[in-house]
Amino acid sequence: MKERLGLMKVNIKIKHLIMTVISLVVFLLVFNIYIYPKWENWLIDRDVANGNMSGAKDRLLSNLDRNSNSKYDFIRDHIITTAPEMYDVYIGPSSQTGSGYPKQILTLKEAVPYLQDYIQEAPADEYIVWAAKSLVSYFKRNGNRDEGDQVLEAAVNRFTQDNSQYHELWSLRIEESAAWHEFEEVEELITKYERHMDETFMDPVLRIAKVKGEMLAKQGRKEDALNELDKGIEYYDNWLEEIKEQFSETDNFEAGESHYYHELREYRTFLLAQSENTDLATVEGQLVKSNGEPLVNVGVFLRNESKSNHSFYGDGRYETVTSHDGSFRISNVLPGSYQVYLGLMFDQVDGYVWATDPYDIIDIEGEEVVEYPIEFQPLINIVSPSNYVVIKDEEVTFTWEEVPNADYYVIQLGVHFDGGSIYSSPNIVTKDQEVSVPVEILYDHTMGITHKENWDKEYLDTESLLAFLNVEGTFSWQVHALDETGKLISKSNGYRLTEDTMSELPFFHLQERTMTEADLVLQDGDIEKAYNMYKENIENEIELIHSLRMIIRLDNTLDKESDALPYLLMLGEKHPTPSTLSSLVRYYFREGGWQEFEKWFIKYEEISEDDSTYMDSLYAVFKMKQGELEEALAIFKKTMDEYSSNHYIGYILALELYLEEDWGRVEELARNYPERSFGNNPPNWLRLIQNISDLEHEIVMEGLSNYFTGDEEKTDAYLEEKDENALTIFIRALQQSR
Amino acid sequence: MIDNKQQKELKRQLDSELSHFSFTKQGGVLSKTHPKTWSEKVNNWWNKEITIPLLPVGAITVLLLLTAGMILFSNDGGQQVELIERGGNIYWSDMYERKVGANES
Repeated sequence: MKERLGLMKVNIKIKHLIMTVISLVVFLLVFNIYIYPKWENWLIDRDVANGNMSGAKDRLLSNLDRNSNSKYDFIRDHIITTAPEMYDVYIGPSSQTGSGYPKQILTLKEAVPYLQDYIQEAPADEYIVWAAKSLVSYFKRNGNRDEGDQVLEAAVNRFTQDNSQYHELWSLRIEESAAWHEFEEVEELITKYERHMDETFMDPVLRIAKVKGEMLAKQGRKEDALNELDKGIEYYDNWLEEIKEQFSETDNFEAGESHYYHELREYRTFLLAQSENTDLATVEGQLVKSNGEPLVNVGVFLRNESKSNHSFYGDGRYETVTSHDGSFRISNVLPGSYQVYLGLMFDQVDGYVWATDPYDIIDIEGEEVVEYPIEFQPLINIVSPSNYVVIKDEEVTFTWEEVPNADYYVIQLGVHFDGGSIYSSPNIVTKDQEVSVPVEILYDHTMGITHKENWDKEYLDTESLLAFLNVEGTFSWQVHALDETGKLISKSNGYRLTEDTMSELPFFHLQERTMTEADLVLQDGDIEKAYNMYKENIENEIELIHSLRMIIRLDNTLDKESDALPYLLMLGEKHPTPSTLSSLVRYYFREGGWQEFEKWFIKYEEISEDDSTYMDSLYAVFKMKQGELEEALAIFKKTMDEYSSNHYIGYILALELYLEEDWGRVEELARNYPERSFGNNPPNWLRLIQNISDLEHEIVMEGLSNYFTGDEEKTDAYLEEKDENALTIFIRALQQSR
Repeated sequence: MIDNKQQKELKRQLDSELSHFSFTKQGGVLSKTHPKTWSEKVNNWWNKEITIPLLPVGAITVLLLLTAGMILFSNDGGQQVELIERGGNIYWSDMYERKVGANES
């Protein structure tokens, strides 16, 4: 064999050999121009993936300096597409930018000359628009708006009016200019652009109508503003009509409405809702870190409260940038409810947290100056358990670094599994820097139930069902520090983006128990078999507490809450922990079994060490339904400051009004404690109170008296008899409160 | 032995038999076997056949390809580093994975 291999030879003529060599050389040339850059590109990606950012940076810069044809490909792939349009992160009281953001090789500051080069020289494509947006945001943050405008002008000149980019850039230029110029100057710009407007591109028409409307509204010229908005809307409507006619005959054409169209209509509705001659307000403050260091060039946005449950990317009507001392001021704010959002760069938010309540809302009614100071606190560093430690003891001891001025701490827990996490806060509260929690408490704690999809079929996520009972599970924890008024001071979860701020990873495993046979069957996904096994175990009193826990969870998950009751009662007798008892209390609260409610509530109070605002509120509602109004009001008042959503304010107002008849005080309460609920439209209690205050007071009192008896028929009959719309709406809102 | 006369006779016979054929490439053959001019020499060299042993050449090629492949796939390239949310914190995926790796080992 060896010999035969050694004998294997090919005969080739020299001319063929030379031709082969020549083709190799040609290939190398092609390689250098076309393939080498791709190869380098790939190497840069690899460096980034391996965390070698400085290697990636050196390689990128050397390729950019080579000045070859592929320079613009490098700028496009490694600078433009990863650069933020405006800020790295946006954070607000109720949400923050999460995952999915790519790491950048060059900072925006380093990238500026390359982006400028791209705008001037690269082939005219949509990436010029991207590059321009990044540059504009950079200059804007640094208070250099003129340069931003020049960038947009240069970028516009790269295109002709047949390109959509031409119109996009013009719209952007006008919008940017509107943010810091006088109306006349912006109008001049608009006139200049309007000569080149093209019916093919409708978005600019809408965007410019909105700019005009907003500028006029800020000048107090509401009628003119509405006119401009209407013109834009009408123009678009007609255009859409035409398009639909053109296409409906030939195709199955469905015209989608532009996003700007919706924005325009929304703004029109907002403006219409404002009363005539509205006075405009100002929101101002200073943004500093807890050590006094000001946060400079941070974007500050006012965002309509109704949009707070949508993610935010800086699409605000009101925005500004903090100055050298971190101060900001937004003027000409129309009445409404707003949340402040911040646009920050990574280094500004890394290791820090803006500890604020999700319902931190600014209500603006008219001309006023709202002071809104913001202070960033360092994240709390956790100590243990951490870094996926396996816990086999009967209790878990959570420890963390002390927070000055903290009065007490609250622990939050998370359960993690493939493709998801659930967080929840059991009632773990302590005044110390550490707290030991028996694993039984964790085992009792139920998380939300999630489902996973596989081949279009939905499966119950048994990991979420088992929660802390899963010995293969991964769990996380967070700690929140609060002051004596219950205000959040700091927390352990936030942006941890450098080695210094990463701290310990807040994960642990719990392997104190072993999985039962039924657990394993459940884990395999055979829910019915597991259910029957747990049931059998209960009958035979094997693994009783655990089987009871599991069967209650399964019944609740399968919407068989009433089936779960006997098991829940059994668990309440055999294993009366706060978690079990509160489940019983909540069950009877929902079902209205008041006698049972009180019985279990008393038991709960006996064993529960910590006050739960939620449970107290349930008890107050119970007292109210029992006609013990004064006691109910006293409990509600004790808990009202701890509820930032002011969930029970309707009851409090009704009780206060009925018991004290102090209309001025009730109106003040309604103003200071508005009910909040993102996504749902909670009643505007202030308006409801103002409306009924115009009625004869005896009529209102008698209506409330009827309501407090709990006799719905009698209440309905009374409302029908009196036929006072305001009163009916008020009582209905109370009836719908839960 | 064939004597001179016989030889002549044979030659005559051969000539008459081959009289229908004529050979015109004597020059070509001569220049190939005994190249005289520069171009003849180049042409000769150009068409010279050489023998390449497959084993060493093949081994070198395979070795080169393997090295290139090793460099290429030694690291899982192309994966973008991005922000990830883990346990309520937001990390860079590369740093997080390194830290997890360090804790596992």
